[in-house]
Amino acid sequence: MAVMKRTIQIHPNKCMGCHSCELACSFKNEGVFNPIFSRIFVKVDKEFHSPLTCFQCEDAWCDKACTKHAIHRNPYSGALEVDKELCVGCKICTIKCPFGLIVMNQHKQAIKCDLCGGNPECVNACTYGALSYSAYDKSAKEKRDKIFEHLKKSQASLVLQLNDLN
Amino acid sequence: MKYFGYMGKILWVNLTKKKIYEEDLSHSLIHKFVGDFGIGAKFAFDLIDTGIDPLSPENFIIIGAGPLTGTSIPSSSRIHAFSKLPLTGTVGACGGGMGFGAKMKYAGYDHIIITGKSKTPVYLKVDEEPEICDATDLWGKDLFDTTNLLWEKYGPHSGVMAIGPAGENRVKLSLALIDKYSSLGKGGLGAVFGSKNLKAIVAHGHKGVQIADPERYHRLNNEIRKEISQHPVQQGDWEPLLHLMGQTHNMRETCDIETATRKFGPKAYEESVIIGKAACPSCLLGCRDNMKVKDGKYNNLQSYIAGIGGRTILLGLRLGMESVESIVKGTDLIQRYGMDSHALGGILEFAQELYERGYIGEEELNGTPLMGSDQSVLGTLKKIAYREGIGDTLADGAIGIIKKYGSKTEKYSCHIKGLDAQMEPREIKMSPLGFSQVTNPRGGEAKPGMLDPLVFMQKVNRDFVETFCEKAAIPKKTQRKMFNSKNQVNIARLTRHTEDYYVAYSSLGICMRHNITPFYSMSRLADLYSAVTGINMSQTDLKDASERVWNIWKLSNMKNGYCRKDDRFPLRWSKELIDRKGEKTKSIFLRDFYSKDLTNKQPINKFLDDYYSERGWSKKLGVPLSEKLINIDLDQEGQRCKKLNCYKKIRQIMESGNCNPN
Repeated sequence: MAVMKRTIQIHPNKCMGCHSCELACSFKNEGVFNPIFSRIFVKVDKEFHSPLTCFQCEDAWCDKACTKHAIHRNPYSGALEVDKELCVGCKICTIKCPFGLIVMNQHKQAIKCDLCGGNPECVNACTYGALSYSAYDKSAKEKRDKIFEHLKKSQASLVLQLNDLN
Repeated sequence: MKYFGYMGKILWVNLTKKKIYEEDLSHSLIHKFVGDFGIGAKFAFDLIDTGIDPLSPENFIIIGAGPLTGTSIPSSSRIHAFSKLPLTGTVGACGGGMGFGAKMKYAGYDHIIITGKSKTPVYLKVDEEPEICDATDLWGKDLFDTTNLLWEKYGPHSGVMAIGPAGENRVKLSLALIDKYSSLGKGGLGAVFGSKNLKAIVAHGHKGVQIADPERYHRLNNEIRKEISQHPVQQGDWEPLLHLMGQTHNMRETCDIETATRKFGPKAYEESVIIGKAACPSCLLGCRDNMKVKDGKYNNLQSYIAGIGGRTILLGLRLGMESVESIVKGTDLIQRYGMDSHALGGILEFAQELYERGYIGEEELNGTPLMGSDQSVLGTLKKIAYREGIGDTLADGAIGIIKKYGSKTEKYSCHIKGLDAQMEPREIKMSPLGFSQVTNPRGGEAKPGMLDPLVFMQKVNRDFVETFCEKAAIPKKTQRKMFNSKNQVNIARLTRHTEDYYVAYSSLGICMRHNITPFYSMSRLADLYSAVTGINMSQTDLKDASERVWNIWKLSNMKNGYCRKDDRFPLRWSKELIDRKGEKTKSIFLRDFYSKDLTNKQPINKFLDDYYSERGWSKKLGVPLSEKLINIDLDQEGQRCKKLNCYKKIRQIMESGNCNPN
């Protein structure tokens, strides 16, 4: 059965900056511990940290830009994957991605998050709850429920503390 | 030559000659001393000459990262720096965390060895092209500003180790901070940086850490992570800390737990301060505190610390600051100046007692008290950091103060080898945690005892201790010798093995905080090491290497004349500790874990005798002799000590009798 709707969800306020996700990703996919070959990026600004990774766009810039048609959607995981056989390292996808979430690896090929085929290693590595792997419509519903609960509790105030809710 | 786990390179930096070169990490060093702490200790022995002034250009700073650092093994970010420390005169192993170790390895180096002295302020940039850079702009700036500026220049992903004004002014209570959070160098490493005109080291790079056996690594790593995630994360509890370090009035009274908790406990923090957590790379237990004051005089003040609990006890209970907000302010100042808060607490209380007893005169204080209120504590901190007025004396630590006010004042101090004892053994009874401070070659610091299985236990049975012994790979034969007929374990003998166990963690680069160690054991450490480096190592090998490392560390201190006379209990420990908790005031005296009295010479000497005998050292001198050294493959080092006449000097010191232990 396809589980197409699951994606990696990011909860930045829970991130502690331990870089476990980066390390796990680079080890699983490139066999080495080196954050620059990771497909997930822990952005740091002094004391604020947050992971960022591919959103698996439905109508993807990278896919449309690839002249070799090397980017395909995995029907099982729903992730867009780079076909190593076809990729020639032209870097157009890295230029086209508006989020900057495709990079090149040590073999000069494009690398991007492929959800590890449906069992993302980064999510397994994160113990702080900054990453979760769930269906986005489910998580949207959860958020709605939370907001509703919040409204119920604080009927007087409609100012939502979004940080608390995340 | 291909390296797994290790990066295979050592970076040598001579600041006098402005020369940088790299050297391969030799396999014989790896096999004998493992890494990080171990190899650092070996270099310290080889490089740091006998009798040099810690603040002279001849001193070295030897920074090392372990073979597991930079990988995803939980809590594998610990680094160690060896140097001759100005506060104590000992060769100390300073430990720290955060991102510097991993970044240093990604830049391609396992060790950075710095010597010499630059004419002008500099910082060291460690990446693919290491460079000594001008730091005139940074000199004089506080630690947080320095770190921010370097992050702005080299990107927020770089690891920054820096000193503050205290280090620049060669305050012996100064240290270096890593990424603002983690302290490195209790005992004056900051002053060593300052004496070399070295403001900071910044590391970043793109080289990866290779793994020899990815499959085995993956299996082991998953096992540990699974175990950790199945246990609730234990953060440092408040109350045990009060028993360990909450003694007030210069270690004369226990604190009132109820009042302390009401004023400064976790709840008080929740009300006034937003506390966020941060973690070292690869750590699952994020224990660093990122604080922001919500309200009041210090509204919006933001500061960073490796754990606010200890600082609260120090500034609130011991030095008398008034509220949690002002404690955050005090912590912020200590961090910005780059000072060691534990040592500060000891020194200020010691000075206060000297003042009360009339040794320090009114005129020296200039009308401003040393401690007791927000204003006085903040003022004194500044005086020490900039060596102003009385601060100039206090900045030299316990030994400096005793020198100035006479040896009569010695009995009021709680220092061991010049470093103020970190943990108080009277309230919790003497277990390896307390005793390890006495035997620590660096001085009164409790890290090697952190693996103590007995601490906070009321009673233990033999099975419990034996389980620990299995974990720490203590051979069955040795284990049997450690118990008496009542199945009680010998604390002194157990201490030796906790020390070895600590060295094993430290040589691989793994943190030994109490919430991490339950998930590791000597055999697991050896397994991880083998999987990462491809060098097969059994738990016995690792235990043996750890013993070798401890011995060579001891030797480098022996070269400077440290022997049995220095492994001494502070005189204050043999006096009473007044407990006002109950309705009636009680006196607590120092007892060992099984409540045997430890206040006079005879049992104390027995304690030390047992420890030396478990180590296989000379009981008379408290150091390893050549027979022992041959057994553990340190023959050459022993010969070198002989050539330097170390043993002869130590015999003379011990025989002169004027500094007999206790």
